[in-house]
Amino acid sequence: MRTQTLIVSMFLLGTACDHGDPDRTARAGEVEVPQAETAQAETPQAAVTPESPPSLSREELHALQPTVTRAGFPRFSTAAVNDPIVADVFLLRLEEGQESPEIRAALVAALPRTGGESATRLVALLTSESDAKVRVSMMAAFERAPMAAAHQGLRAGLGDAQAQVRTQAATSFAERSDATALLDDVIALMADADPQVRAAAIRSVGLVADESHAQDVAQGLGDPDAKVRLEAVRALRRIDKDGVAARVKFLLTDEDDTVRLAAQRLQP
Amino acid sequence: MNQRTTYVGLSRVAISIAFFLAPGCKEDDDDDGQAMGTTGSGGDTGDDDTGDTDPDPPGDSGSTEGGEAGTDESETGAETGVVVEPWVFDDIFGTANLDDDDGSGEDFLKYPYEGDDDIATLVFTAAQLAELAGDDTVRLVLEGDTEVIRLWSGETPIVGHSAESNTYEFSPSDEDIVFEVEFGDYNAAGTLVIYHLSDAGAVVRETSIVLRAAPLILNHHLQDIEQMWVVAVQDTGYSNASMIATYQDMLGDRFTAVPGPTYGWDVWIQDEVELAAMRGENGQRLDVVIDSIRDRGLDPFAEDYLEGSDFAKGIWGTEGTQTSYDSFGNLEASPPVTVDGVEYPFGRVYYGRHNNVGLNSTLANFLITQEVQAPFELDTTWLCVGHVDEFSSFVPDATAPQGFRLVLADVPAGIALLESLPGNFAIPRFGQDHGYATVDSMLNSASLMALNEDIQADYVDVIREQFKSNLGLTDDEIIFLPSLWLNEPGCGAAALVPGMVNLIVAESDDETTHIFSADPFFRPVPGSQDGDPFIDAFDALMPEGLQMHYVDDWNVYHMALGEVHCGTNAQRPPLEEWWNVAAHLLGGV
Repeated sequence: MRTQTLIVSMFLLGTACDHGDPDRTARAGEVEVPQAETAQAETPQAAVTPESPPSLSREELHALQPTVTRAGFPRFSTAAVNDPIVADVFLLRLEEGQESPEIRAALVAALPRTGGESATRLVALLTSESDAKVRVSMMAAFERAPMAAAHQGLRAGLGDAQAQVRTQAATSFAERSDATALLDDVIALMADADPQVRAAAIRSVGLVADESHAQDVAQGLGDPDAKVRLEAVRALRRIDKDGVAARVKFLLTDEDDTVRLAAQRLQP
Repeated sequence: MNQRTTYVGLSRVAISIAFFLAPGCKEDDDDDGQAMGTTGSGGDTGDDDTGDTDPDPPGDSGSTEGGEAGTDESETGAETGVVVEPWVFDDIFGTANLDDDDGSGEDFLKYPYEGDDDIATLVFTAAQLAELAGDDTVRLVLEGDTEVIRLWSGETPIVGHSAESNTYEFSPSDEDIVFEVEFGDYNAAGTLVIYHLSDAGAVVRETSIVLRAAPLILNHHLQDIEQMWVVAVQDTGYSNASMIATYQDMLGDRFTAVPGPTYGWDVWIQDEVELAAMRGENGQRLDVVIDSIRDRGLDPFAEDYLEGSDFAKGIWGTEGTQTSYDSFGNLEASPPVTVDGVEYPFGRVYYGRHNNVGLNSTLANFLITQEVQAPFELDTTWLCVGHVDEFSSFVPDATAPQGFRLVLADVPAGIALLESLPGNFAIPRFGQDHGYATVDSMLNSASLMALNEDIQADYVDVIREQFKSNLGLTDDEIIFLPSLWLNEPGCGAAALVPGMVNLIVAESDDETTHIFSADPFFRPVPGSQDGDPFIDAFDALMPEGLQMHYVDDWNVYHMALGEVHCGTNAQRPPLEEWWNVAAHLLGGV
């Protein structure tokens, strides 16, 4: 997965100015800042200073290419994407269908950073997206999307044909405060055929559910996959604090050292 | 003079033989199981047959050269029991001749030539040779890594690699006789047994010397910096110009900005090459670049900037099979340590590898064979990128027991720092790019807190104990740096707060020690570093006397899953004389 890096060419340097519109709508990250009155009174804070993104025209954004992360996949790490206008342009690029799967995944991953609205159009794109890694990126983008679109997208992801998409959907589910609406779908995935999916589902159930699901989660302790067993130990540590030590005792001789050590730490 | 008995496990013990040439001495030897007498500081180790006065020495290929003239057995005192003084030569500690001093290909593949500075010499002085009787000869027998060691006589390889045999015999002259000694591999080890033979082929005296090439020694974080490189990139919203300017101000001519467009905007220069060095006892210095099989945009960097005269290049691993673990942020060396009484004067190598997942086995196994830095493995499989430099580094501290402190990413310190702040403490950079606009938005995220707790308990705590046991450290010698992780979708963990542990230590010309680390931008006003609690914590935790620089690496590095160290590489001068300080770590030949 080697993407040729092609940052917008250097002639743009002369126009790369930091002249954002001070009157424009604040980005999502800014409007969500809770300003608790008591905390404010006790600890005066410096005024939040929005950073205006460097401006690129729609044409430039349409041509913008990602750089390559240290892990080897492309990403738009430039501050130029911190602008709501970028969401519209990037969604347009996705809708045009001309980009490679790697670039499409990077375009989707950049959407939450734009502060622009994208969830509804992403849900529409999800139905036609053929590449699993792009759908994985979409599941991650739904973590902080408005509820209706996010639930629609995540529910589709939980039933996706590809295990990696189901895995990310189960993971993203636990990032949402309104996650319980999808809990039954995720619980079902604890018996998925794929161990990565089972592990992600167990982890998320451990984050969202309560002690009433401990027995279901405990099934994972006997899973043939070490990652599943580890997530089951972790989940039970959260939802069954009193019973977890006894439940995991048989894992003190587990063949996997991470599982074994995790079980050891829970013993009195 | 050679005192090989000090190199236990490195050198065969010097054999000093008072040889009685009287007929029947062999029988005497057999009778009592000993040589007929020894003098000098050497002695038989008991398991080494070089102590025997073997009249038919290893490698004996026939009769000695020369005629009947000169001394015979009786003239050498055999009948009178005259003691022959032991013959002693210095061991030879050189460098593997793997560079290209004349620009025409690897030197080990060529005849010796003027200007090749990685060849040692073995000299039989005229005075030494004058001790030989007229028809006596000298026989050389090479043992050990004979495929990667050779001796030259002029342009003729006489023993070892490309020679016809590993035995060579010559007659003395009245002038010095010089052989050139060359090594073709790192840590190549051999023994050259030197026999003084009578004209009848009997051993008059015998000694052996060690021939050893320097092991490949990886540089560590705290060595001086001779040259530093960063790939320069600049575009809209994407620039490391301020980081480069900071380096340039501090290092001057020792800093080089590598043009990003030439190298495909590949900024991860830490990952492409690992720099190491060899030294020889005659002042040889050979730098070595381990060229990663990662082969992204910076692939030509080693050839363009490094490889050449006095700079060898090596590749370990199969190109095309690379994983992220084969990048060299995943291969580091500690400063010098003493562990359970064992000194590691060049520190210890460590890399990410767990259950056979990690740095490729070809390179890992090669590093083990170099011995002096005794590698150990850490689990980095939980990380998206998977490199040891994502959670660990070192800083100098003269007050620390070993002169440094390990800096380790630490979640409890990170969470404690968050909890010390007002919940509404605004962090707009994190709101914008990571979805957490305030401290409370982090603390209230069950999944984020759980991720961090699990990482600490299941991985970092284990890694901490491994560092302690492998480097001989206590908790007091560790700086627990506030850190937080996020989950990179479909990939693994990555730094949420810019990884300040991923730092660079460099000394400026005025001998000030500088620390370059990521600006965490954990504050309401990104444009001013004042009041940033992560900077304040870092300042408070670092040893006295260090000059901090918090550089903006957010868009170019942090948002692309790396930080300052990932974007920097440096050449450093070789350390001490390994043959003196690390002999106890080297296996015998």
